[in-house]
Amino acid sequence: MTRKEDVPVGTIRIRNGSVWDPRHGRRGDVSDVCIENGRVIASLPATAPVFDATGLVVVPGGVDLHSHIAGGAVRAARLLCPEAAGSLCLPTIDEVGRRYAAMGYTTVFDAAIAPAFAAAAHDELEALPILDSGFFLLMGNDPVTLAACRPDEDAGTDLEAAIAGLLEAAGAYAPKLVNPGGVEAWKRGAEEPSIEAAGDLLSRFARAATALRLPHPLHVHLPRLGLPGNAATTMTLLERFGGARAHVTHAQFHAYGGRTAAGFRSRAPEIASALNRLPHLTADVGQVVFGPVVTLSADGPAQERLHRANHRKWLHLDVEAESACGVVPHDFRASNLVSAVQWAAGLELMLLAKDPWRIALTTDHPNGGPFAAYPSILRMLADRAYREEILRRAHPGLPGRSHLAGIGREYSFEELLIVTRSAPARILGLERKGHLGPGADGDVALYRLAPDIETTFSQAVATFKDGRLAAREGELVDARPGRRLVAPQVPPLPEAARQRFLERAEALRASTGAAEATC
Amino acid sequence: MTPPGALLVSLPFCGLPCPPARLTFERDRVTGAEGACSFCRQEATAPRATQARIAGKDASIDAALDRASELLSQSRRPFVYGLAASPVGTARLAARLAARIDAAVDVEGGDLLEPELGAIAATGQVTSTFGEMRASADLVVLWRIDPRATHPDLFPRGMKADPPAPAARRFVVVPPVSDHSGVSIAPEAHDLVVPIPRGRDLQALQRLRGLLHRAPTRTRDASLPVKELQAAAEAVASARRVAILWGGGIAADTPEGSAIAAGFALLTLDARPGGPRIAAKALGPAGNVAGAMAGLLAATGFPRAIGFAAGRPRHDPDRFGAARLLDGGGADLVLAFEPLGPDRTFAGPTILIGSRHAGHGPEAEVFLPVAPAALLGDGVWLRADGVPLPRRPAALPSAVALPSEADILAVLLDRLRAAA
Repeated sequence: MTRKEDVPVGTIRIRNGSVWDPRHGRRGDVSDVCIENGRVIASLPATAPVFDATGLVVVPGGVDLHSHIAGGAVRAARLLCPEAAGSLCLPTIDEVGRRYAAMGYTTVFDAAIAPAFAAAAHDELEALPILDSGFFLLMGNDPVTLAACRPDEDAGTDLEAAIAGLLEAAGAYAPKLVNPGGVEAWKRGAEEPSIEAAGDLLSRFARAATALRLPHPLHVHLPRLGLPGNAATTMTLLERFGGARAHVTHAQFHAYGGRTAAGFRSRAPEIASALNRLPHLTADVGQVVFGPVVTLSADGPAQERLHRANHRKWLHLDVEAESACGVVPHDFRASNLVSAVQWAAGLELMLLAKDPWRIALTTDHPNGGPFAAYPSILRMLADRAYREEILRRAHPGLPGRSHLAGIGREYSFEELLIVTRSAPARILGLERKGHLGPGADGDVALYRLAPDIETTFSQAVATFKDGRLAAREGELVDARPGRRLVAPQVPPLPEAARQRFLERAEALRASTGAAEATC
Repeated sequence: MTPPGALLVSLPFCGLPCPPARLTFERDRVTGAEGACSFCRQEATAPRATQARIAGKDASIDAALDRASELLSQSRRPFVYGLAASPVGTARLAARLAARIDAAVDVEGGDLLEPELGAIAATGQVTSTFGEMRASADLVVLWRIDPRATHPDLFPRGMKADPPAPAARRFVVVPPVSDHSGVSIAPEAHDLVVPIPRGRDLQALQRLRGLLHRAPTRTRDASLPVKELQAAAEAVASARRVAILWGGGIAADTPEGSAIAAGFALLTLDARPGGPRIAAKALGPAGNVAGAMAGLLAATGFPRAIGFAAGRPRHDPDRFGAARLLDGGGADLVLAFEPLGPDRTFAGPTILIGSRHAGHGPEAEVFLPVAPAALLGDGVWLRADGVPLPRRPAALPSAVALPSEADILAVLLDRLRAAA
């Protein structure tokens, strides 16, 4: 992990708190957390400034590995839905920082930035208060990476060179595939690739990203999002990664059975079982939250399908022959069977995941719901009676279409911390995030335990960023922006492959007329 | 002293894909410009002012900041305006300042895009960036606007590229068309020209939609060029990818504006399986209008015409737009980021933050000079399609240390906070 810029950092002793750190097996021992110059250290002199955490739990700052908070897609969503301005689904950039920090989060990644919009995304993230941030770069529907995937290309090194070159040029953190090949075909009016062809692309990209030894593996939005029966596709494609690492995002949206909407049901247990069996894969859930949302995605065909299904307005943007972006408002209603199945499927995935270190809590903000709903979802995971109460209020057909009622598991407090900070940090390859061991970033959240988990996690008593008190009781104390997280330099690649990448990038630039970076 | 020199730069002033410019300079003064479009050359070589002024007299920056803070504190109906010649970050900060003083804020030129913004918010739209149009559109409809003469890079001929550009791109042109400076441009030889009379755009759009969907025509409109519209509909129907660029001004100047913008939006949303994919985009005035709107969207959730008086941002073009606040006497003080244009009638005090103070109206009460961000490669600038220009290292040597717009706004915010 490299850091583009440095911000002033703090020194503080967080004293006498109940310290939880899943990575180091700490489960509430009362002790101090010492931070010097922004990093956790073993001890501080007695003269160091002190924050009294008596009676509070002290945990690593939250890490959101998949959210949509900046860049061209969010801008399009704001244009399409001014009625949602300032809502939990479309907060302003200041509100994004404030709300995350108020909940104890200190790191966030935007999950889908087109290369053409990278500079604008950086500019916007530079204005994001408090949180360290980065983004995943859209690939797999552009002529540069698709050409490097052709079977006649040079044993994968061309694709490695393309991924590395694009990440470096954009200042991105990891490669992101959205329905690879499918968006490009849809823009041409052609059929989306077969599952076999899509599997080939996934396999090639995952191998190339693994070979580059990126801290976060390939981040994948699979084909057929939201379609009845897509679980079969998902299970086929999960096998296509071979042994290569990959992260399957918003898995809930790819976990459905049935042939049509009438037969729509959850097959999340089978997806969870497949993920449990494949240790090289990680996932985030993309949990649905009942209420209005604004969906936005580079998966143009999926967004058009949603528009045709829910008859709501639709803004679509084709982006520089390399990507796309579709926005459609939607309403997940508990009384709607499809919405209810989606809600249940997400919880099933989380509850049936055997290894919480390989799954992260997300809502795919704002697609499944706002990130501000995390505390409520945590309560559903930790409190069976609470989720059964919601289940009873949902569409009466839900029990026959989901497996949720039969799942008794309740997440422990430690597991809640794993899926909201320790696991996402590990999945992202952020060595200094998600724990409180020496050398960790001084990103710490302090909570007051309440009778229910939702209240506990709704508002941190205090959030420290790099050892500075950033937010207290929901109000910003120090709103300076965090750092940008970008991919590290990759191992040297064959010069010929690098040259072919540059030629393809130049051909794309010539076809779109993009300005050269002149000076 | 910096010796005379030359630089090859991408200039952001026009908001369109523009060829690089070769700037010659002495010290930090641009003495000549070649390449690019005429608008960018003109902007790049415009005289710059570096001396702060109060009431027409030279002053120190500090004194000018004091006076500006005083005026802003005293104003009851302040208006923050301009931003189209500023990087995106300036708009975000300007929104913060506007919120601090309960001001309204608007983007210069944003009113020309309001009908399209309204149509998008009402129905949505299929649209496209310029690069996608250039790479894939086999039919381009230029409706009351034609950037081809001033920006040949937008739809170049004989382009070799990967993926291959449409071999025989066709153009449908609705005249009259003009470039950014308002100069009329004649259609090109092979264009399909559809001579729609002025003021009949809505009717023509409705007829075109009807022809595309083979809907029966209920009334005959003798003023419309039926034969040419039929030919245009056939061209659209037989194309694979259609790009429509239309002059935003045609909808801004008429009560039918919303319906016209909606007409273009619906053309794109009506696409049928097997038919052409149609993308539309209104072209407004030159400048970083898209960038200013992007900054305001991030900061407030709205692109323009925003008021903060109710304690939260609200979008209302009729109340918070330049037409009412500048020309209708709605504001008692303007904080502007460029001199007000000649069509503006505002006569009250103005605080001008910019790199030139020569305007068309009375001189600003306070002039706060800033470094020319566009020439220094400072900040992010968007083309009219929202695509950022590449970030560039400092292009122009800086002989006089001037603050940036962000510096000025930060000081003003600090002083207003302290005063409060």
